[in-house]
Amino acid sequence: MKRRNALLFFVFPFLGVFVFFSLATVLQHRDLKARTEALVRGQLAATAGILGKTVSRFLDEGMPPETVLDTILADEEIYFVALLDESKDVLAWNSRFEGYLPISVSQVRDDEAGIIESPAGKIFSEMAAVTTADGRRYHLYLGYALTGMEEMIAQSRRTSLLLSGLVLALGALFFRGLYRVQSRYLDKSREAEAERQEKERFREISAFTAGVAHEIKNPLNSLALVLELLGRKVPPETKGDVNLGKAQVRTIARIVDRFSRVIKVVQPDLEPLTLDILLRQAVESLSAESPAASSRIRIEAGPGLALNADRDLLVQALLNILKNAVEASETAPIRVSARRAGDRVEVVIRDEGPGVPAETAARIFEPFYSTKGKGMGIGLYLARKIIEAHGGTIEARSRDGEGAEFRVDLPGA
Amino acid sequence: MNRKRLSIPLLAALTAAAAAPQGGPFYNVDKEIRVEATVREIVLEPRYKGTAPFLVLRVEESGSARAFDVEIAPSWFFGQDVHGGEKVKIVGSLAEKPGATPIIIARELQLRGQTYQLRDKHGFPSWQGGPQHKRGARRFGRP
Repeated sequence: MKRRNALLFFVFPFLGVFVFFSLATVLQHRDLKARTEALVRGQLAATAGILGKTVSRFLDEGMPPETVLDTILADEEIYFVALLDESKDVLAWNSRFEGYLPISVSQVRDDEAGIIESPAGKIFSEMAAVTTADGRRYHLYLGYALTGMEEMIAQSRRTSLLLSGLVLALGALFFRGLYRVQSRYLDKSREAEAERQEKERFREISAFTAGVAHEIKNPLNSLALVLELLGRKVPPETKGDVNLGKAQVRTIARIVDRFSRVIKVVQPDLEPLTLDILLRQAVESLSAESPAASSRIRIEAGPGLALNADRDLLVQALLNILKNAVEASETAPIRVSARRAGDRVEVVIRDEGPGVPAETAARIFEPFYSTKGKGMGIGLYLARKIIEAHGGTIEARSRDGEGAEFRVDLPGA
Repeated sequence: MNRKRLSIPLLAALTAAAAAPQGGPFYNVDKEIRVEATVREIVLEPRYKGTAPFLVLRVEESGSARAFDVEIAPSWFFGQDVHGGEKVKIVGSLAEKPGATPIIIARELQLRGQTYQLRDKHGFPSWQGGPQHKRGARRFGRP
């Protein structure tokens, strides 16, 4: 998939969802904070009002201001408290922290709440007016701890972070999965398209080859007949040339036959056979064409490896693989081993040639693909076609400079 | 706020200062002054009920020779040696009472070229979970 498409359809939507969620979370968090602060302000104002009345009563009873404040500070949520006179001079104060009374008389106003940041956390401060029964006016200054609210906000922040993390992780997993599914679908589509094109190409080649073979065969038969007749009539010194002509005609006929075989649908006629016999027949066939090459073949297959196969076809397939091996490795021995693997029979043909490069290995069984100067790229293709028609598989493995290995897997009997 | 930051002052508050009425001078942000002075005497005095004695420097302002009692910090918190005759610079809140030596509740102390933060700008004591606690150093001068 193109980078641009991946960004457009997966990364950007994911980031968009995440940013939207984060924004919503931040806004919700702020709203919660604002509402909580408002609530606490209201509570503090109410507390200050109640405490103001209590202070007023105690003062009416003649209790010293210091003692009055001691009773107020018994509330754990109150960090500091001060009683101010009408002109806002501090008459008495008390605090949980030594000397800590954060008040600026020039700034503080009645019924006005403020928030003071401190290492002990946020503190809400509130100045409330107090009037005694005899008309004396005071101000009560309170510092109220917001530990509960801060805990709640911190909890909300932790929850938001956890949710954001979850959304991020799940979103990443979801979009990654989606991206992989999409990529896999596109890969499959590409493979299917490539396969379709290959089949189309092969159909065209087959049709062309069948037409050419048909057109060539009739004149070729006539030519062979003419050369036969001519061979009887010509003087002895010319017979050699005529024989050469006949041999060339036979070569052309053989090539045409091979092309015809390639394009035919392989339909094996199965019979019970043993693999060692098939291998030896293939070697015998090879020795008819190249006795020196066949002498380099070492077969390490015990008797009794039974399978159901079409004798001629499978011998042809094995012959093609052996021919490919002896051509790749001009002097070294070719080792052929066979064994039973469960209900399958496995044949391995190893040569000690230059090996098959990876890019060649991927195409080595394609029709008309050859790296040899003389080859037509039919032998291994035909071998694969025959083996697959038997319900088997063939694969080529190679390491550079260490020869090639063809592994044939066939259903056993 | 993290739990650690919160628990230190709360614990301190509940154990030490819960029943510590404070009627003396407080850190009045409206009366903050800056003084350069010479140390004349070093004393430990109980300043707040229920807490450890405080280190108090009796100083003389350079130039005016005006005397001040400078409240520094609890003795366990401020671990530096201070000697008579040493020059100090103090930022703190001034509390004056007729007929008594004026008191400065120190927020910042400069001694031998080093600055010690004793309270925050509102007067919150550093030994009650201030910036020093955040950094893990519980008292100045501790090796």
